[in-house]
Amino acid sequence: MSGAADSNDHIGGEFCRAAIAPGLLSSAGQHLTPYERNGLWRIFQAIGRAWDDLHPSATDSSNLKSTWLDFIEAKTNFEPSYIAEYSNAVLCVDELIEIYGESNAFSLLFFRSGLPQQSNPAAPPMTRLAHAKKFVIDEFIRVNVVASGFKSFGREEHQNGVNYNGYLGGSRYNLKARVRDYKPSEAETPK
Amino acid sequence: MKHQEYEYVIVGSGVAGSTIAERLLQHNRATSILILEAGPEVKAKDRRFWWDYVVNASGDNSKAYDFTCDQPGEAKVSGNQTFEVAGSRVMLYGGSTVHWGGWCLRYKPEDFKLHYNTGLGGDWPFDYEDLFPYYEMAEHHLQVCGDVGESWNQEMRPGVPYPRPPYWWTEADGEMIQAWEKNGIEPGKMPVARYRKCMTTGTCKYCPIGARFSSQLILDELRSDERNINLEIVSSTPVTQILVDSKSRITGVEYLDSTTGDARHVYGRTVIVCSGAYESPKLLMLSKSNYWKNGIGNDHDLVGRFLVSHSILKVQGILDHNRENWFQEYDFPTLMSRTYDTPQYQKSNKIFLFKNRALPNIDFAQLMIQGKSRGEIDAIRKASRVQELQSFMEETGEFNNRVMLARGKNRFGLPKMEIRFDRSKDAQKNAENWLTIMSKVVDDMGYRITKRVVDPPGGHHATGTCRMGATEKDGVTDKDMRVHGTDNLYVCSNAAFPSGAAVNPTLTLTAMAYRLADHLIKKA
Ligand SMILES: Cc1cc2nc3c(=O)[nH]c(=O)nc-3n(C[C@H](O)[C@H](O)[C@H](O)COP(=O)(O)OP(=O)(O)OC[C@H]3O[C@@H](n4cnc5c(N)ncnc54)[C@H](O)[C@@H]3O)c2cc1C
Repeated sequence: MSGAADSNDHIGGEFCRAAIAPGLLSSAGQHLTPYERNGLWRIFQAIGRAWDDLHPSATDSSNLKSTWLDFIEAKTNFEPSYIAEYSNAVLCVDELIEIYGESNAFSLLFFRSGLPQQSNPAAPPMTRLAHAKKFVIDEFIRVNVVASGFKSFGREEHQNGVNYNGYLGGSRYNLKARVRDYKPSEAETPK
Repeated sequence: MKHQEYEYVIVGSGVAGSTIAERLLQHNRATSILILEAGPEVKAKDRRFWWDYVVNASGDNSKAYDFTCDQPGEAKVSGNQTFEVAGSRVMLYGGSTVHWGGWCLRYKPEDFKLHYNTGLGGDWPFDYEDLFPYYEMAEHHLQVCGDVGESWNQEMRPGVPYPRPPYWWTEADGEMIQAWEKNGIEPGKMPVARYRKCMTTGTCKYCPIGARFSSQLILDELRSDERNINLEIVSSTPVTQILVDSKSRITGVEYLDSTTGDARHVYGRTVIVCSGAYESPKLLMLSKSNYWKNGIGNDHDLVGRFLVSHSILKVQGILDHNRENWFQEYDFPTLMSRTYDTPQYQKSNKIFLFKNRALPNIDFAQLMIQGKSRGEIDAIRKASRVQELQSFMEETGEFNNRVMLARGKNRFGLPKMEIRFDRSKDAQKNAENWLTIMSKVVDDMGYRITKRVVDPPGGHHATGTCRMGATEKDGVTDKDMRVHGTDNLYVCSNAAFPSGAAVNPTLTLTAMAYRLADHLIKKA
């Protein structure tokens, strides 16, 4: 296996490891293709599976697709556009899958990528894979968590919808009451 | 500008300026009003801006308007404390409510008589009762939610309901409430400006749907209302001087043209300075002439003085488990108390208590980004939780605490500023006493105390710098916020407050803006 995860270097082949400047890639004149859109959605779905934070009644992330699409539209239709970053991330993941197989590829990418950013989030992204991690994977993780993933970290067995600080916990995402109220008992009520 | 002369020229487009403009226009749609705003226009409710804010949540420089904030080190500060200016206001279309928390509490009757009651700070030239009807208007304007049943409301708003019902306490508030009650502290529900239906996105500082009140929304509505034929709002246009043609008569203002950068004049029959607690005194100081050698209203060297800030006191503790999986469920506050915000404590720098709005909390996404597995994250979330009790402590106006003009210009073309601020020995001693009381509460919750601090003073709630006073020897402005010695120049800002109370200022400012608008309507 080339580019093993436990080497000092990070995972991936020639494309993933290619050195590029750390700034956002220029997207001038580019469009997202249907193939790339599907590739991005595959990454987003893999996040929900890897952390098992899907809606309890869902087998995949489909119930989050409208939120995710809203995010993709906002990131590709307005400046600075992420189209080139998205295109780059899809090519990186294609290469990882070719080398490691789909399940292994995502597992390595999320948990043992060997990227310096994993230990130091402020590390500048100096390779194509590092770009994919910073501008795509990390942001998709946040979208996953705000759009519903946070609930799985709350009460056991998804008993209650909980609205974590900073997250989109609007009523339409919750199974039950939006908030677990604190109601004082008789003894606690001020006289 | 469409006109050479306007009935009203308003300097600053924050909640003060926008409320006055709205009220004047409600009275007469044809009123000619020019609002000049130094800062740029940043779009509200923009999906891209909002998503960028959400996904960059762990960085602090992620909001679309951050570039309009004071940057660290931009103001020169001196004194026995490091006065925090960075992040304490925003300069843009809509002003600081674009960025505020929306907490809306009335000042208490004793706040209007601070000096009379304690010999410290200043007195307001009128009573709470004078402001009472305007508080009601302000609460409707900002759509404040709250619980009228709390004991302190019996005095402040007998029988007067809030426009919106309160947000209930969350489960994570519960253990603090129990400790409060053990210590004789009455729990209350935080009154907040919930302008439109809140969807609890938890991103109050940039709401994707405009649910939290921001003056931008008012300005947008005023601007799009075709009946307001003589209203003009011009952004990126800093006012650099107030013009006079005699000691008492103000004729207009000088501003910098946004396209050419040239200085130009525009005339107004009444000029209202709504530029916040820093820029309002600066503008008066800048406006020197043969009639006003030290700047308008500054013959007695009071402009910029009596700067008041809130001290924020914090006691944080940790519990060595989080079996209940508690997390603060909204990123806005739900639990507060005014038990120590009473005349009894006025002499010892009274406090307004509240629970840290964002704790307990874990940034799950950040752990995922760091490559932690589900099992590892579950272990972290159950291992411990942190809670924090906070309070604002009232500080009193001291002559030597002040805002001054400094050399050089800031990005908006306005002079830089210098702030001098000492926290008095008594205030420091009182803060320590309050921290002891607060620590007892956190201890009673069963938490191990990890932090016990008084934050440096800051400008978020700065008041006092053009304070009202009965005569020009007591204050810069009179009871109507008119600059003493002038006929037609007003300062509508927290700057005019003679005391800063223990709670946030903006509801009181909005009430004052209504009061001023009614005064102007009567005068016209
Ligand atoms: C982080 C934060 C949280 C806050 N939370 C709360 C809260 O929860 N509750 C509360 O009551 N208060 C809160 N405040 C305070 C609140 O924001 C202010 O009290 C309120 O916005 C002041 O309104 P204003 O109209 O006087 O000033 P601003 O809203 O600051 O508006 C003044 C405007 O004047 C413009 N200006 C200044 N000088 C000039 C000039 N020379 N020419 C042209 N334009 C000029 C500025 O650019 C600015 O836009 C908070 C403040 C901050 C920073």
